[in-house]
Parts: sequence; C-alpha cells; structure tokens
Amino acid sequence: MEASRAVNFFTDKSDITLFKQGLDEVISNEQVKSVLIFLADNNHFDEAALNALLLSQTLPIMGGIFPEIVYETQNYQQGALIVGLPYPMQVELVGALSDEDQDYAEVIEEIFDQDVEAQTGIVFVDGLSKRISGLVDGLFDVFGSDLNFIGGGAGSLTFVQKPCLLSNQGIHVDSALIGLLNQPSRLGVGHGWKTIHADHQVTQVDKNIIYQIDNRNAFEVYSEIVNQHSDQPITPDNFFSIAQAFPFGINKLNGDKVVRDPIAVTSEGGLGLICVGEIAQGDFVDILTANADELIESAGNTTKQAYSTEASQPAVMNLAIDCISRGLFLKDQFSKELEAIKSHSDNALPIVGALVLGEIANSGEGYLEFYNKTTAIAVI
Amino acid sequence: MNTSNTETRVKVLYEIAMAIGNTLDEKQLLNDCLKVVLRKLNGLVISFYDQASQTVLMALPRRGMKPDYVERLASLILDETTHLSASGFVKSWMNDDNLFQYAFKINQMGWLTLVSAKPIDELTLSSLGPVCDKLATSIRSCRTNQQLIEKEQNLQTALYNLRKAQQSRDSFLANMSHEIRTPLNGILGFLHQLEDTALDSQQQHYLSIIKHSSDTLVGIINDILDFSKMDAGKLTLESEPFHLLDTVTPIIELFRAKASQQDTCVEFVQQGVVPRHIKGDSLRLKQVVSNLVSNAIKFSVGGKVTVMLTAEQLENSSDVRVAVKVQDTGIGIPADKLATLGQPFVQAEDSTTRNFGGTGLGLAICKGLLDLMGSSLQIESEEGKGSCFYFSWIAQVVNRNAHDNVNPILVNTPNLNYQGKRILLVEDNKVNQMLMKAILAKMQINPDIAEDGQQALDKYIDKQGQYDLILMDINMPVMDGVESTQKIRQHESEYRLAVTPIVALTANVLRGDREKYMAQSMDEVLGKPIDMPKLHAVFEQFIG
Repeated sequence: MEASRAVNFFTDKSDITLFKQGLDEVISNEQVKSVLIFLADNNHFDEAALNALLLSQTLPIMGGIFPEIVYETQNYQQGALIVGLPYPMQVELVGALSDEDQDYAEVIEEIFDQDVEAQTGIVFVDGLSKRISGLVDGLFDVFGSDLNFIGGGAGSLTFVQKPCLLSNQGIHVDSALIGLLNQPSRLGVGHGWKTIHADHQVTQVDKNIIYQIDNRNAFEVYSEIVNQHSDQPITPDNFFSIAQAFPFGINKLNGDKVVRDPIAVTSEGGLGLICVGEIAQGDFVDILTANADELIESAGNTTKQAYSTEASQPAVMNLAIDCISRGLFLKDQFSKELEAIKSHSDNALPIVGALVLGEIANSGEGYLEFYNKTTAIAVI
Repeated sequence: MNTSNTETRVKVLYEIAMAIGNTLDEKQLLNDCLKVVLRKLNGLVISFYDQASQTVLMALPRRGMKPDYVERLASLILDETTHLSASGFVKSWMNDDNLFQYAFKINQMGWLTLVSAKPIDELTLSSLGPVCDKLATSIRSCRTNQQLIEKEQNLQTALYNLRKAQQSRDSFLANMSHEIRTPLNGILGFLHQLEDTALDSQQQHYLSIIKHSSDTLVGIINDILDFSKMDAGKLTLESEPFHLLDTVTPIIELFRAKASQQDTCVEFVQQGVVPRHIKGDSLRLKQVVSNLVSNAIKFSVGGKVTVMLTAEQLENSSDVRVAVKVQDTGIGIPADKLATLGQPFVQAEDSTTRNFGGTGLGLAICKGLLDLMGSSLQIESEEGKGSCFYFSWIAQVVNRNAHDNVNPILVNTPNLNYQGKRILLVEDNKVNQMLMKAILAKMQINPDIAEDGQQALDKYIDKQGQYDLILMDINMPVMDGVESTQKIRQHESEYRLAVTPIVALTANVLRGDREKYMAQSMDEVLGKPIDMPKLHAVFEQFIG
C-alpha cells in the first residue's frame, strides 16, 4: 500500500488563474483531506476574487499571505504554494486580535471541545495585530505543552494592516487561524544569535515599545552599543536596515534566549524602540548579533533538533516557518539556510512554508512563545 | 555552575521578583506570577494551591494539574504543615512520565507546584525563597485590598438601600399627606360652614372641641412632613423681607390666652433696637417660636413664661444679631436627658407623652430649622426650677416704609360677591365638591362641576373657553389635573382663545409642588385644607 503523502502545487507566478487551477488540482486528489495555502504578498491578488474562490471550497483550508513563501530551498517574493494534507484538520477563526479586553483563553476554550483529539497545532496570525502575545498565552493556557504548535505572522512588509489570512470563510484581517491536526509532529526551534552586550535592563516599556533601557532613553543606549559594532552609525532613518543585525535577547534560565526584533523608532514618548512582540518591564536583555554562517548553521541545527526525536509514523512534509528579518539579513544567502534545512532533513519530504512576521512555536519542553528572528521547523 | 550561568540565574530570579506584586487583583497577580515563573524556568505546568480554600486556585495550563501531581502535593502538605513556616522550595519528585515536579511553600498562603521537562539546579531552587515570600506578601495585600473593596461595596449597597428607603418614605409621606389632607379638608371646611349655622351652646362647645382636635391633627401632620423633608435635606428656607415684631407678637398673644386658662403668665420683653423689617423666613421663625412658647407653657402650669426678643447691631455691618429667649418656671429637664433632647421622637421622660402629649418632633424640627438659619438651639435647665431655650442669628435689615405690603397675597376685607362669574370646579372627591360649592355659594358663585380632567376638558371645549376661572384638583382618575391643564392650554393656543386662569387646588403641598405646577401652565396653587384668606386673595387677583 502506498504511504500517505502531501500533494503540492507550487508556482512562482502571481497569477490567480494559475493559483485556482492549482487549488482545483490539489483538491481533486482523493488523498487530500485538508489544505494549507501560502501566498506571497507581492501577488496582489484581487481580494474579491480570492474571497469568492475560498468561499467555494469544501475541504478545510488554512492559509496566509506572507512577506515571502518558501518551497524547497528557495524563498519567493511572489507565487503560490498549496499543500494538500492527507489528513483532516479542524480550522477555527479567532477574530478581534487587537481587542484589549478579549480573554483569548476563554475564546479558544469555547471554540474547541475540551476533549478534542489533536497532537499538532498550526497557527497563523495577522502579524500586525496588537494582541498576538495574548493569543499565544491563551493557546498555552488551554492546550499546554500537550500539543506541538508552529506558526507565525502573516501580512505585508509595508507594515500596513490588510486582510492576510485565508480560510473557508474567506480572507481575514486582525484575526488568527488555529488548525488542529491529530497527527504527531517533531519540532525544532532555534536562532543562532549570540550576545555581544549583556545586562541591560528594560526600565520603561509599553507592551512592544521600549522607552527606557537602564533608566535612560532606549534609542540612546541601543545606538551607543550598536555603533560600536556597525560600519555606519544608526539613526531613526536607517534604523530598520541596521537594527536587523542587532536584536534583543530575553534570558531564560536554561540559557535560551527569546529574540525580540527592534524594527522602528517612534518619536511618541521620546524615541521608543518598536519591537515585534512584547517585552516585560524589568526584563534583562542582551544585545545580540550573528554572521550569516552562524545563522545558516543554526537553521541546520534546528532541523537536526527536530529530527532528533524518534518518529512515531512517516512524515509528509517539513514545515519551515522562518523570520522575514532573517531573509532580509541574509539576502541572497538565505537559500543556504534553506539548503542547510534540506541537508539535515529527510530528502524525500518537501520543505514548505513562509517567511513570516514573528514565529510561534513550542518544542514540547516549555512555554509557547512568540519569537522573532527565529527558525521553527516542524516535521509533520 | 559557571559565572555566566550564575549571572543568568540572578537576572532571571530578579525578573520573576519584578513581575510579582504589580497588582492588587489576586487573580491577575497569580496569573502574572505563574506565567513568568513558567516561562523563565522552562516549566510545563505550574499551579497555586490555596491553603485557605484547600483547592488549586489557578493552574497554567488550566487543565495542566494531573491527579498524580495533586496527590503528591496533598501528601506533602499533610507532612509539612506542622514544622515548616518559611517560604521556599520544599520537595521535588521524579514523575512516572520522566517529568520533574517541584513544590514551594508560600508562607501561610499555600503552595506553588512546578512541573518541568528538565531538572532545576539546587542553587536556583534554594534561591527562590525570597520570590515565594514576595508572592505570599502580595497575595496577602490582594486579599486585604479585596476585603476593603467588599466593605466599601457593602457600604455602598447599604447607602443605596438607605436612599431607596428614604425615597420610599418620602413618597409614602407625600401620598399620605395627600390622603390625610383630603378628608381633613372636608372636616375643617365643613366645621367652618357649621360655625355659621344656628347652634345651641352645647353644640358650639362640641364644635370647638372638634376644631381644636382637628387643628392639633393638622399640626402633627405638618410636623411629620416638615421633619421628613428636613431629614431628606429637601427643606429650604425662604429669604423674603418680613416685619419682625408683627411676626413674633401675635404668637405671644395667641398663647397668652391659652396660658391664662392654666394660670400661667406669659411675659414679652424687647431689648435693644429691634429692626422693623428683616430678611428671612417668617413662617419658619413663627414655627420655632411657637414651638418653644407652647412647650414652655405646657410644662409651666401656674408658673411664668418670659419671651425675650433682643437685637444687637453688628460692628461695621448693617446686619443685626437677633436673639430669642424663652424662659419658663416649669418642671425643668433632668441633666442626663438634656443631651438627647431635640433628637426626633425623644422626650425627656416617657411619661411626658402621657401627661403632656406631643410627638417629640417639635424640638427636632426647631433644631433643624435653626440649623438652616445658621443658628443653634441652646438649652439650660434645672430640674424643678425651669428651663431656658435660647437662639440667635444674624439677619439682614431691610429698609422699607411701614405701609409697604410685605405679603401681597393677603387682603384685608374679602369680596364676597362674584355673582355672574363662571367658575369650573374640577374635583373628584364628593365631600370636597360639596365643601367648595358651599364656600363658593357664599361668594355668590354657582360653579360647573367636572369630576376628572377629561370632563373638565370636555366642559371647557363645550363652553368654548368661556370660564372666568378654573379650580383644578391634581390627583384625579381618568385624567389628572396637570394633563387636563396642558390640554386646555393647547386648545387655547390652537383656537387663539383668551387664557383662562387655572388655579390648582391640591393636597400636594410639599415644597416644590407649587413651583412644579406653576411651571406646568397653572396660574396659582392653593393647598388643602383651604386657607380662606388665600382663596379670597386668589379670587381677587384673577376675577376681582
């Protein structure tokens, strides 16, 4: 008997007709029970046409429009990737992902049966929503470490919020999609960033905006450190391009670091540093950096980490969720990162995924985290 | 452990400590604490067991505490409560699923349990003591705060209930006032009519007793209403010019006659230059003085009551300090009762009511009224020798001619001939209808009668607005007086008819009622029982 496998369709063309044909093709395969869709933001597909196409589908669909998509050892700024999974998936939508008053644990518990049979969860969020951490906390509160979660933020690098999540109910903004599979997965999470300056304390913060480090203006402290290592002095204008190489690291007891990516400077409240993801007041942060080789090596190690646990059944794909800022930092060398992933994974399995705005993953050994500048690999 | 790891541990412990105690909401505190410990220590499950309720108060994930984790903790709690008091790490276990479970005591508050996939080093575990202590202190603060919040909520609820009860009482009193005044209006009105009929001497004697009893009843009702309004803070004083001596001396004269019947001598003394007119509330001043003089006479049978009115010019001001002293040679008040005197429903002795009558509200009302005047009642008394009640207040002197009419509504000689005037009397109560017809008959008026507001409107339209005056009751079935008045005004406006004076005739006489009805297009308000001079004044004003 032939083993179950994923049925894929990939195109690097931004052609919605081609995408439709691909979707029809994947769905028409009898083995396919549910579908993952990765669309590149640069496709600029007509929203109404895409919405109509999604609404007409009968198999469970979960997808997103991402800054870039990944297929095998290449990343693409345009194109479409459709993964037909040979097992069913329960896909649910959580709306109002910027609502300050929403208790997401309550919402999630209401949506999913208490005894839902699932081993792996895929989560796509609108990467520009304000309460992604609240959703991640809610997921952990309800499911704990019993489920392996992997996912990330959809959206555009223009940082303009727009509909970016795809389901059978159409195309969604400021929401999250949670897909539960009753299939095992093996997970690896890693980043490769190393400390260059330690012991800086975040002394004033408002969720994801750091206003003070060591009781001084955050931008001043950050630029003093970064300028020692950067060829070019950092300013509010060139901040995004230089800060890509110098993220923050939040300590954990086991030495792991949760990376926080500073992406912009806000003049509100006196030059605060806007990060992708929240930081707590009082947290000690390190300033990190890495070179291309270290990041590529780390991606390989993350894949090894995923494959280090024993498989309980044959896998169908390597789901790669990688941070867009790694792609921007590595530029042309990013394909080497994907090659490193390929070289440490089962060659017969395709690498599918996306470059995202923030990664969500847990390795089964701790809290579910919202990461930046990190690679998450799930062998599903 | 190397230096780097030691530093990391210190930082992580510091971060955990920083995250605890930032809120006074216990649920939020536990949530913050459990989350930060779990994240920083790479835990899989964490929970807080509350010592007071003996339950797992919070767990993260919410269904993470498996039965065997709870069982281990329960057995530990049984063993440890007797000899451990300090917060911190107590015990660890290696579970069947190769996970590590750690128990930390949170002094006097409960236990923290952490489950992790990897072991936590001993130094870190032992360093968590101060963190657990901080959590214990923070939980205690939250609970104290919660108690304060609950107390405040209880007080708020009590206050709300009190206000509601007060509103109900006010509403009850307003209704009762109306309900009692309506039949009283009939009694007093017809007594008045009865006086003008041929009666033999015995009948006249009985009639005077009935009148006295009715007057007393009206006084009691007024006292209760006044006290209720004062208690609810709804009583305010007028500030109109009035003649001071003309206000005080009639009271003395009135009571002098009564006092002479019990051989009590009433003396009135003036001191200083008493101004003719001052500004204030003459009715309320009368009420206070009447009350004090009445009391003094009541308790001084065969004795003497001296009423002293004093005025003293204030320096550098045109204002005067006016003082009233009422001194008697009566039974006096025991020293231990002086303090409670003037509290509502309190009399010096329980026997007072039996011997002298009264509701015990009089002095309470006097005190309240004087308080509104910016004054206070002073009492000196010696048992068996007599009492002295004294008060003073600062009054603004008004310069006006002696012949100025201070109260323009009063007329001296009533006009009793309104023959030919067309009056519509709107009244649902048959007794009051009869009474008003009798009163109006003496004024040569034969009114049309309407029994409710709708009938009044119909008759008004039927007569094409040709009435000279409408006397309108307020509380009536079918359509009340206010609605009827508004519909009449609407009709006048639509058909450009002349405005007919409408006078409310009502037992609703609480303060504010007059203003309310005047604002609802009525021209004047007369209270029940009918005050005849006022009735004449109103007729003179509108159809004289």
